[in-house]
Amino acid sequence: MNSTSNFQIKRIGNLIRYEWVNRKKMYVAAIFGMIALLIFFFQFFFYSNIGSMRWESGYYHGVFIIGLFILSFLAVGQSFLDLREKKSARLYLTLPASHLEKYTVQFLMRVFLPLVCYPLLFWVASILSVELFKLGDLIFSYSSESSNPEVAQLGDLLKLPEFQISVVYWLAVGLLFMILSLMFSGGVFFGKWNFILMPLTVLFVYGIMAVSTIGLLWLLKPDSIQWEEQIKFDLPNIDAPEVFPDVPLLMFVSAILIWLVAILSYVASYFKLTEKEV
Amino acid sequence: MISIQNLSFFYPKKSALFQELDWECPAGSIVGFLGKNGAGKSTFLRLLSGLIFPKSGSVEVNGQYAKDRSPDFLQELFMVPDELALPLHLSVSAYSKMMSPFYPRFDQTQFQSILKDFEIEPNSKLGDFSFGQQKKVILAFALSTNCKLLLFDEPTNGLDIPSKTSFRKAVAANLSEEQTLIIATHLVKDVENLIDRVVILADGKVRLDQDLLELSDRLSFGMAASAPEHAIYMEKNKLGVQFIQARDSGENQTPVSLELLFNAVISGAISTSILSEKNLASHE
Repeated sequence: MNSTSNFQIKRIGNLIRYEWVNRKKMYVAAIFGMIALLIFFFQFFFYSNIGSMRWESGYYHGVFIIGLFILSFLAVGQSFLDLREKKSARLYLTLPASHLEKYTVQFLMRVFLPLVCYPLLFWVASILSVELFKLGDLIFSYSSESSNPEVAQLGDLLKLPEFQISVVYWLAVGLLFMILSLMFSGGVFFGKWNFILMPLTVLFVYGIMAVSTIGLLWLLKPDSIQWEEQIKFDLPNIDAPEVFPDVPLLMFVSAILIWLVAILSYVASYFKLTEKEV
Repeated sequence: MISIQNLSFFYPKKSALFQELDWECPAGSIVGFLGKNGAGKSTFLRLLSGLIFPKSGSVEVNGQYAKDRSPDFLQELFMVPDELALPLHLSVSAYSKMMSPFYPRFDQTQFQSILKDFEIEPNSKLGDFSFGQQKKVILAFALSTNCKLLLFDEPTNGLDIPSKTSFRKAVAANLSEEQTLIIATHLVKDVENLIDRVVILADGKVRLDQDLLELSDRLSFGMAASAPEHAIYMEKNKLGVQFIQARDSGENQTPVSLELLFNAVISGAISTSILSEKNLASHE
């Protein structure tokens, strides 16, 4: 590749080194902090189930998914930290690398790396937790052999729940990807307030969509909403028409929109980076 | 090397800082960019480095638009801002190790040598340094990058008197003929013996853009008990009158007093257009 190329592995390496040297303490703290937090919660689950049920590998899945959402706020939402202050933003934007290279490194460090590391850290935390529980059991003898908890299996963690309708599956996965991409993009748009402003923005947009849907429904079919002790909706034919067998149009369009948002927010944040002025 | 065409810029809800400004600068100059506080010196440097974009017009450096912030453009530019952003947890050596790979012509030996001149210990942490010492580190790094364009914003701000001398020596010794250095400052005296070209900015316009050799060829700077009859500008002080007048062809050249020149330009007594007028030429 010649020097005029907008994408050079050497410059990607320079940027990764820059990120690591500047923030290695943050990365180390995040890794050990996450393991410690997971061990704390696992111990809580193990101890609260003594005598009632055995904590099996499959039970970790729910915790894993909740953790993934928290991760999208705490790790992915920390994208473009250098742009949060004017002084550091000026240095970062004048670092000799293209916008595409800077964007790629942020994606690698804030989306790809956490997504790869999280299952591994989760698995390591489950091993340590089980060993810690066993050690406690050895000393205090509070459980029988049969109630010793199982270690999380990586295969179980990464297995996605099976849905009857494939479009629901794509809708659920799309939602997760959308949250990740929105939190990543928010780093460029909202800076240090991303943690609060991006969720608020999503809630606001969702609120407008929900209210406008209900409002339109009420205008067209006033009987479909009953204002009694609690609001009752009688949404007519929500699962019709079907675009494919067992695929309602509403689900289909929602899945497409969610995936569009997931992809386009990356595109929008890239262009926002190229237009960033400090 | 630097070409600015029809540049207009303003900050939101504020009046225009630059309006249809044209400016060109050949490679190999040390330019003193002078102006009062708020004249737009720092903004001008940020426009040159692509950190902010013109509202209209263009800023080109070596044929590349600053706005694009392309890697080729950025690896030939180093800006020393007035407000430093240094990783304070790193040592000077670690900082150089982190930053130098971005600059293909960075010279480690040169860096060590400038640090030595500045009396900076390379293994010390940046966080343990005073603001002046931190500034010396970044100035040493900037000069060692050997970038074609160096932008220094108030470089002597925070430096003690011996360090200002070291700074001038370091710049003079480490700048090649291919490199251009633009120094934006209001501390006019600090750059007097360093620059070879002066640009004075006021009211969003370039009021003066002259080579210092040309200036000392055309103008005579002096001091007397009373101002000469044809003085273009004068300032009274306790010792008498400082003045600027057109230089006669047989008269010896005098060093340019940047401070006096600056005041003369700000007051409107001297401008690029006045310097080229016939009445001034008639004195030669």
